[in-house]
Amino acid sequence: MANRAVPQRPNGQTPGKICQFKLVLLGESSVGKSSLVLRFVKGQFHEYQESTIGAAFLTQTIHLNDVAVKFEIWDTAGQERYHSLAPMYYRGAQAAIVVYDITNQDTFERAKNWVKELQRQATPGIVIALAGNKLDLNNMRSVQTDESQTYAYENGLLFMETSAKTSANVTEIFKAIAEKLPKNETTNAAQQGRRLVESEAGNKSLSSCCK
Amino acid sequence: MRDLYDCLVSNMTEFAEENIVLEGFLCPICKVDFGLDLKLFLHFQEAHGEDQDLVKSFKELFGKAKEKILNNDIVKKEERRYVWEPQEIGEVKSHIQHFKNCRNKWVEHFVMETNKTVIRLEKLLCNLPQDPNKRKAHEKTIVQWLDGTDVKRCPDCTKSFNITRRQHHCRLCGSIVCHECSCFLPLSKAYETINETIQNPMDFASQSLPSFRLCIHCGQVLENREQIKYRDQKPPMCDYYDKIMECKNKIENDLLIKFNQVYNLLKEGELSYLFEANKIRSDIVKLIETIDALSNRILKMENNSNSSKTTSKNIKLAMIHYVRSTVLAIPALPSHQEIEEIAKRKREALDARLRNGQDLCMDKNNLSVKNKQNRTSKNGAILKLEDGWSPVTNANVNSDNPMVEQMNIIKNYIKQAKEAHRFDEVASLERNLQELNEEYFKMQNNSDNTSDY
Ligand SMILES: Nc1nc2c(ncn2[C@@H]2O[C@H](COP(=O)(O)OP(=O)(O)OP(=O)(O)O)[C@@H](O)[C@H]2O)c(=O)[nH]1
Ligand SMILES: [Mg+2]
Ligand SMILES: [Zn+2]
Ligand SMILES: [Zn+2]
Ligand SMILES: [Zn+2]
Repeated sequence: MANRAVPQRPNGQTPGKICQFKLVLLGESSVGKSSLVLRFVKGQFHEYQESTIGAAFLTQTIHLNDVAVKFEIWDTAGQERYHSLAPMYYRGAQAAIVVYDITNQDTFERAKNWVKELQRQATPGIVIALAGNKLDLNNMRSVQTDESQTYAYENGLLFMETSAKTSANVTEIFKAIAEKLPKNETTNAAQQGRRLVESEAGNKSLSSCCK
Repeated sequence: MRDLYDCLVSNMTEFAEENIVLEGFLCPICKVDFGLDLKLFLHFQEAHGEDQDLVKSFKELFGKAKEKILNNDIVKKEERRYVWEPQEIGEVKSHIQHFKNCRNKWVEHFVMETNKTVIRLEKLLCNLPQDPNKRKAHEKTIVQWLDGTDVKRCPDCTKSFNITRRQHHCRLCGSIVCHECSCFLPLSKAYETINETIQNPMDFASQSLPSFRLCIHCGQVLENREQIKYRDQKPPMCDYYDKIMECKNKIENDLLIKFNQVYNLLKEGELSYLFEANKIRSDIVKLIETIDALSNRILKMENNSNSSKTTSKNIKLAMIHYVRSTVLAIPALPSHQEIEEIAKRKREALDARLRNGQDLCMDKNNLSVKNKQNRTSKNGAILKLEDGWSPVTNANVNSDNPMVEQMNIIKNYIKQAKEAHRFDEVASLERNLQELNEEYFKMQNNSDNTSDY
């Protein structure tokens, strides 16, 4: 019975696994969280992106070598009114992207607060990436790259400047997160609430996941 | 009910018993019927006028009687007096057409009279002799002069003519007026009026009176005509302003749009548009220079009125502002090098995407091929994007409580995930919905507890 669904691998290679991660986006309203996700998931950009209500859910899978990393993305609303929801979404998340708008210093300060909150409240070991979005508006920049880079370094964050509009660094930042996410210690993963799903083509060995 | 009924019945019987009912305009004293209210009133004043109190009381009575006769009117009057509720607008009729008809008659009349006067003036000026006597004869052939023998007074001021106040003829209508009620139309102005210049000014230089005597009425007709001429004439700054507007239009509705298109292409790495972008840019700059020059010319123009002085100043200020904001809005063009850089990056991205696309196809067709490829390029991590999934957030989830709002959103997402056969997503979403539920109840409990104390 089982053989029917499992294609035979002539070369006997270890088949790909799917690793599923929960990722949350945080940041001030209109810094471009939804735009980044939309670019990553659909390859689209809307000049008039509507402000998010509550938290939106999207999924996208990237293949790193023979590892399929599936992101379950929670795009939270930046508006003050929805802040009470945020903890529910960063709780149990393995990764977070904190977004600010490089043309708006206030959003950078807000991003730092989010980082602090994550460091205090989120799952220990959560991978946090800092994204300075709207890189295409470089000539209106008010947050210097050096400043954010130093801050990110001191806090052990991944850091990239992105543009949802031109798609600069969008896939890259997700890829960097995927690479940094631990992928082999199943026990650790279970503790962190990460689900490991065998791909249809996979064999039964959980320990060899995501090599 | 009973009482009312009885009362009515008894009243009716009372009326029935008073058999002789007198009707009409009766004098309350002599009980004679006068048939007309006015007649009765006059009679009463004549016959019983000595009794003033009675007249007064009769007047009142009279008024009431009148009101009773015109019963309907009373009601209406009372309504008008006491009811202040908003009333509906009754029939509405436009009087514009009527007004236009009336006005047109006047305008026509006025235009005709003016035209006639001007035509007569033209005739007068045609072959006008220089010799005063011949000139008078000429004038008389064009306009028939009124015979003055029977005219004893000036028709305008009604003062009588005598040796000191002599009769004068209006050269344009031939009527007779006194000196005070006439005016003079200088010959030069006469020619101006008929849009000609004096053919030979020297001819008239020696003349003592190079002008026509007119009655005030004809003078006014010509005067009005002149004023209308000036009224319709635009002040000279208008021409310049129109030209400015032309330039502005060209910039806004043509050049800036084109420029933005080309600029975006450059930002996409299309180097071939650099020349055109530069050209459009210089065209805009040229037009801006023109606008600047024109507004300067307006400013330097001789303006006689204060209002036109401020207008020209304001135009200049507005243009300075416009020029500044337009110039600022034009972004600097990327350099040759920058564009090439962009193009290079784009090519690389495209190549990467193509590679990924091949990956995807191969993934579907043959897993072993994919694996071989992966092995060959183990060092450079291969990045492959699938078509992600995202449900649509419908906007009808609004609630006062963001938590409830979110639960509605998630429920809707679950529905969409099921329809798309995304069972992993369904599971995740359902977990989240449960979390939301728990959180919500916790919140409710908390608020219940706090409100208890
Ligand atoms: N120029 C530029 N505009 C961007 C970029 N990313 C987003 N925007 C614009 O910024 C606006 C807000 O973007 P959103 O993606 O809705 O922002 P958000 O962070 O999701 O906002 P909330 O949902 O309210 O929290 C939109 O008009 C986007 O078009 C970018 O990279 N460059
Ligand atoms: Mg959003
Ligand atoms: Zn009488
Ligand atoms: Zn006259
Ligand atoms: Zn007179």
